[in-house]
Amino acid sequence: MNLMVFNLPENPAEWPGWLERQLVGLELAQLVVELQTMLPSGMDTAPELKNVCGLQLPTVLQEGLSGLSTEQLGTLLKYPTLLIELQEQILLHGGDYWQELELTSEHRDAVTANWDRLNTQLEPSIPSTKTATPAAPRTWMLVSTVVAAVAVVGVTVWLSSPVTPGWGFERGGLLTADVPADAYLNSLANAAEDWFNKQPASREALAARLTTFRRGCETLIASPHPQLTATDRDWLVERCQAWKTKLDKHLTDVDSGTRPLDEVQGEADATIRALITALRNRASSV
Amino acid sequence: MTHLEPMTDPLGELAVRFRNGDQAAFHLLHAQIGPGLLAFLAAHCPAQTDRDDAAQEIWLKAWGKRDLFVDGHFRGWVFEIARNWLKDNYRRIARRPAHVALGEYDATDNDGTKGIESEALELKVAALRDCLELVGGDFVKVLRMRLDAVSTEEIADQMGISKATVDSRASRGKQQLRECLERKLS
Repeated sequence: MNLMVFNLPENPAEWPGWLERQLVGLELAQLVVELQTMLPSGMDTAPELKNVCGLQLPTVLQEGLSGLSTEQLGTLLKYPTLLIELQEQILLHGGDYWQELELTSEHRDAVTANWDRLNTQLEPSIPSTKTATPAAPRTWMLVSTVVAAVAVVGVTVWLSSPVTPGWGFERGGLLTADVPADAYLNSLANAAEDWFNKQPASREALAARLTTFRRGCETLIASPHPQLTATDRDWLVERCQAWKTKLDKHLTDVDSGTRPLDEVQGEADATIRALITALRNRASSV
Repeated sequence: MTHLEPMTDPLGELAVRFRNGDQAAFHLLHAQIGPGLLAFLAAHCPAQTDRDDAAQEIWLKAWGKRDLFVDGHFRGWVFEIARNWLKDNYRRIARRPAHVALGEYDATDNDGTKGIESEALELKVAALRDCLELVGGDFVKVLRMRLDAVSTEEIADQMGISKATVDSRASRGKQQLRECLERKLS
């Protein structure tokens, strides 16, 4: 059984390189948890990152950790939540140095798998008027293989249905249907009717059902809706965001436990009915 | 709509093409930013499935909202979407143990649901705490002093032992911890 902290080099001169790899890797949080468990800070107030790195933070963002002293690196490790904060700074503002650090094979595979899954949900590609050129040499190692892959531009599949059968806006095939706009909006309304197929008997069940329906709204917000005009798409996205806000309110009411369950259920039912009516009215007007 | 200035952002030219619906540009941007985004999400989503689902939703949202990217730093825009996703989904994803301060994503908002991978991490933490009560004291003591930038010579002086003994005690303590964790987690 190996902990990440066991791999911390004994020689402090090797800490910068080791810590840099953790900062851009997938296991930083595990390291943080291990360090906090092993070296609890108790009542100590953690210093601020800007005070630990001082004026060197811009240099760190451009050149890595080698310019930090052993004391500074030790402080980052003793108060490891600073590492989470530093990671975000690096990922947002880090220069070429951080982009060129080698990824683990697990990390590379995860990025590739993410793109493969994402690619199945994009609408048919618009032929590029420019040849896909490699990004600047300072990029991650993946780019060279990516460029080869995107050289073949073909028709991609429509937005795919969820892998597992779903209900509501997560119904299989709902978002991929090649139908006119009015039929599409009516199919969304029909899918929303799934809400009434089950009557949750507990707060937990109602919260779960609301969460699923809300997730469906997010899927709609993120989807391209090729069946719709830009105007109708904007309308749908704006409405979904408003419905999501109402669902959040219902979730808050369920979680707080301060209101009777049937009262919250009734309000949620009313929200969904209004949503269905809005979709059908829009369908009749396109 | 503000005109994009590609040269102010290293990814600017790709971002312009991305906004125009160029999937090849999207792919290249994903290759550039994807590794960092996954690392960021891994730090905030204890379960790998949540991390991967989050990345999927965030990239889809970016693609769906590409018309809204009108100016600025593309990487920052994607990470802003990611931060908002984390805020919106704190109820759904398992939260880390409260050690990790997640800024505005308050770990105390944990609604009690945890994924399997989050539970595995908590089991490991609990086992580590138990083992630290039993063994590994020398390893932790030396580690703490090293993080305080105390040299091995000074550690040896403070502990009243030789430098070689400092190293061997720390090594033995590490091994004892390792064995204890294996017993507890097997």
